[in-house]
Amino acid sequence: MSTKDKNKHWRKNRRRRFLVFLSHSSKDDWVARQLARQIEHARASCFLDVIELEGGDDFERRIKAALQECLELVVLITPAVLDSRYVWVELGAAWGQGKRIVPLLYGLTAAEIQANPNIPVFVKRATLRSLNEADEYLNELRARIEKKGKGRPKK
Amino acid sequence: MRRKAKAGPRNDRARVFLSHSVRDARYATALTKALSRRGLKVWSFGTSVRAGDSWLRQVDNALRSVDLCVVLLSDESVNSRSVNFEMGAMIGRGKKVVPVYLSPGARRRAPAPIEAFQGVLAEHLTPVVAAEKVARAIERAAA
Repeated sequence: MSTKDKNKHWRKNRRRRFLVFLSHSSKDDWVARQLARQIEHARASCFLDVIELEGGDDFERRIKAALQECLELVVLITPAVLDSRYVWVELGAAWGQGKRIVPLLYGLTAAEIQANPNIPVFVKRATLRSLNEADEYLNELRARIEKKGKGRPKK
Repeated sequence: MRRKAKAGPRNDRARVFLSHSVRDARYATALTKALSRRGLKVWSFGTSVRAGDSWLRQVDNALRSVDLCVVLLSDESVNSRSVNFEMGAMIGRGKKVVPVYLSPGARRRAPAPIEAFQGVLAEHLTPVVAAEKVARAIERAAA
């Protein structure tokens, strides 16, 4: 394998290794798909259950594996998510594994989140950005991917 | 003379985290006492508020120290963000979960990941009777 091919292979693997788990309510599928596309454009891999899981897949097994494999979890916090049982289980699982959790708000403001006594404190303590500010997160994500890739072979 | 409660050979040292909604606190307290009499070390939040830093610290401590999680699922708790979060945290850390269903609706609406665990149907059971079944389920899960 030539050096050029090695670097190409390494870059491809690096992209695959930086997995972002996108947690959302099924009521927000369309918005979540757009965000997943942007995360992929930022050179990460994105796990979104509506895209990744095909009929017949072991739903729970695949989601558990993706949660273990991901390096960070983005949660699209919308009014629908406040009533979603599943999203809070996913958040708990990611938190239990010490993953970085990035909330993005859509249809809710940071003030509304802060004022809600039933929202766990780790969400309130995180940087609460609206989906309109997703570019800031995507820039940070690119920087993390670059940092993770500093050890790549040069020759 | 008071008879000492029997404890199963596997669960007499098991450390259990009991996750529940504040609305089920009375049942949780009674279940905690009944399980403790059976030799289990039960840890729960009681009626404390679960949105602050101390709650997160306590969940983190529980994750480190307990062997498994018993979760009380009622019509209220099945929708509780805190209960679902705690359940997820336990599953994420690879802990076994024993769901205790307090109503048929809770069983129907339990989040999908919980279906992988064998639960206890306690709709019409007193906490003392339920404790016997929960202790057996814990023994099976710990085996």
